[in-house]
Amino acid sequence: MMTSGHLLDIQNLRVQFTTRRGVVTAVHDMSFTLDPGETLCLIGESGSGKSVTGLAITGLLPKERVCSGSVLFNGRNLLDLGDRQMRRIRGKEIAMVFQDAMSALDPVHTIGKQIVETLMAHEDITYRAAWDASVEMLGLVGIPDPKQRMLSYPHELSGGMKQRAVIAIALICRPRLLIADEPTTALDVTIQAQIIELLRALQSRLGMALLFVTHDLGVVAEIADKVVVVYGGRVVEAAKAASIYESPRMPYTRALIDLAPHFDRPRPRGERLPAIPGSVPDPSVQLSGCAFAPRCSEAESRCTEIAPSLEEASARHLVRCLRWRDLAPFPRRELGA
Amino acid sequence: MRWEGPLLILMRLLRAGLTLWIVISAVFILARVGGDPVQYLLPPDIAGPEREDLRRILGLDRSIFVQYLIYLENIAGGDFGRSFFSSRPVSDVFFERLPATISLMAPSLLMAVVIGVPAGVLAAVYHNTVIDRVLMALSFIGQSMPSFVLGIALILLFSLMLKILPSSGDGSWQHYIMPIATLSTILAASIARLTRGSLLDVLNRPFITFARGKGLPRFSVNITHGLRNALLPVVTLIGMQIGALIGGTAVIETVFAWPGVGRLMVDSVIRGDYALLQFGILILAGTVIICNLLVDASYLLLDPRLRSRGAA
Repeated sequence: MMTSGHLLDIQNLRVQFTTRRGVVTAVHDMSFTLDPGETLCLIGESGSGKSVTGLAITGLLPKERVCSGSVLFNGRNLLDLGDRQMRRIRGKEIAMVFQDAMSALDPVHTIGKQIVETLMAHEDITYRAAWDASVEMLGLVGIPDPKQRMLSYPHELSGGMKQRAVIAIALICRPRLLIADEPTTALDVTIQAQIIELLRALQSRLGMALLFVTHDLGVVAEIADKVVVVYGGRVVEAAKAASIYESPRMPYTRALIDLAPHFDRPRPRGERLPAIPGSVPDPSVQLSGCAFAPRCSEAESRCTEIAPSLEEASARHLVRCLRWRDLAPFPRRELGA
Repeated sequence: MRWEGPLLILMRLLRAGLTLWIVISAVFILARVGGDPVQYLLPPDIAGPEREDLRRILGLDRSIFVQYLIYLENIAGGDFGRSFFSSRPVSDVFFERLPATISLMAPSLLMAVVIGVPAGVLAAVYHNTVIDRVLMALSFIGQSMPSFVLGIALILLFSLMLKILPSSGDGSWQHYIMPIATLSTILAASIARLTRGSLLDVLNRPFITFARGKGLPRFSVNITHGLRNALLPVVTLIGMQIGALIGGTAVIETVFAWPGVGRLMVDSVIRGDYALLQFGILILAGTVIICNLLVDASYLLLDPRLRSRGAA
């Protein structure tokens, strides 16, 4: 068995779906590592393969998928584990929080039941004890009057409260890794900030690693230790968060930073919301060159012909771009959400 | 808001009453379009004057509209009339045949649920596997076969060829086997199909992925979270099937010569026994309406979202 010092060590993860039109590769040779207590942000537009990566780690993808490479968690390759072994890890050591809390909770069962069953699935514990622990966890995630809320049904809670309840369920077994897939996208801005703050506080309190999947660079600036930028199912840039913000190398990353809201540069009234022209590549179409080339403002003719490989631009700053050496330095931006 | 709940119930009851009234009126009119009952009740050689007498005794000499008003008035007073055929009160004639029908229906329904729901769950959980295909092929056959064909096929096989089961009547427990098998097969097939479809829908919902992400055992994911959410349409179907069963037993009871209310209705149509027919239809319609109300009430048990809307 391979060993690595990291809590999570993903090497060359490839996820393929078999569809009627043939095999579609959603994630190409994804590699990154995560240590205990660390926060890694996986960023990219929707359809870039970032959510699929999260699901692949926990083995929650549909049966038709094929994964190769390795996902080492504590030195064990999760891709080799059977259903039963994987179930013991899910919810206990690796927990997930999804984008839409509204639909992550089962509408016909109380919040209490949904937390208690999670704890009882993993620990040899009485119903009573599980109930008390659940009340305590609801309090910890900032739900007022937790005893009462245990008896509430999901539809009786607000969006923010529901997401807190989902986080409570995810954290009830004190996992070592939390995968949060756009946990704030469905919430309004003030609640978003509260949830981010909550996750950060709980992370340091429980000492868990956080894999945060998002497209919101404002959030990334607040919580990330490391950033992995994904485009078309490939890592296009990976570095420490500070390094990404100070000197983004890949034109795609630069475009994302440009699109994030800036306090120092308010958008004139009436101006349209900025967007990167074009759309995310169709994963079923094989491209010969760089996947971002068709939308890239810096692209040259060779970009559509030669596929760039991941290169080390500076210490632990990886970039997948043929032209990164030629690009002008990126002007520093103040980010805030 | 406080009035919403009671008002809703009142509206439901009003609607139920309206439905009953329409059913009564429709049956009343249809029965009278069907022909002259005196023709069935008296031998052909009886002369005109006696015929007129009988017509007067049965109240058939008056205009349809007057007959209708008298009928409504009598119903309001709790008098449903006497059977043209046997002169006994229609309720007596009807209710003495009811136990035979219920003794077929109740076990059939139970069997259908006990077989149909697990079959549907298996097919959904093992979606696109051999199990799913076999179960769905069986249910397709079960659902598309008319009940009388299945009944007659069973009689041919077990009574005429193998000679191990009685073909008609209700004398012993062996008599129950084929009618119940026929009724429950058809019901179980439609319950299995609906359970499968509804559960497949639910199993694709995000909360199922989340439940799996919590590391719950498969049973808990598929049943506690899956089936529990998929039950609503299944319960609706079962409720509606109870109504359909009462009508559907008419065919089965005729095939197996079962002395239940289904056959009684068929007989009273043939004999032109309006009073009995009207009463029978009234009770059957009433049962269907009550089943529907019970189904509505069961939604409140199954879905907490509806419960709190009613209470708010």
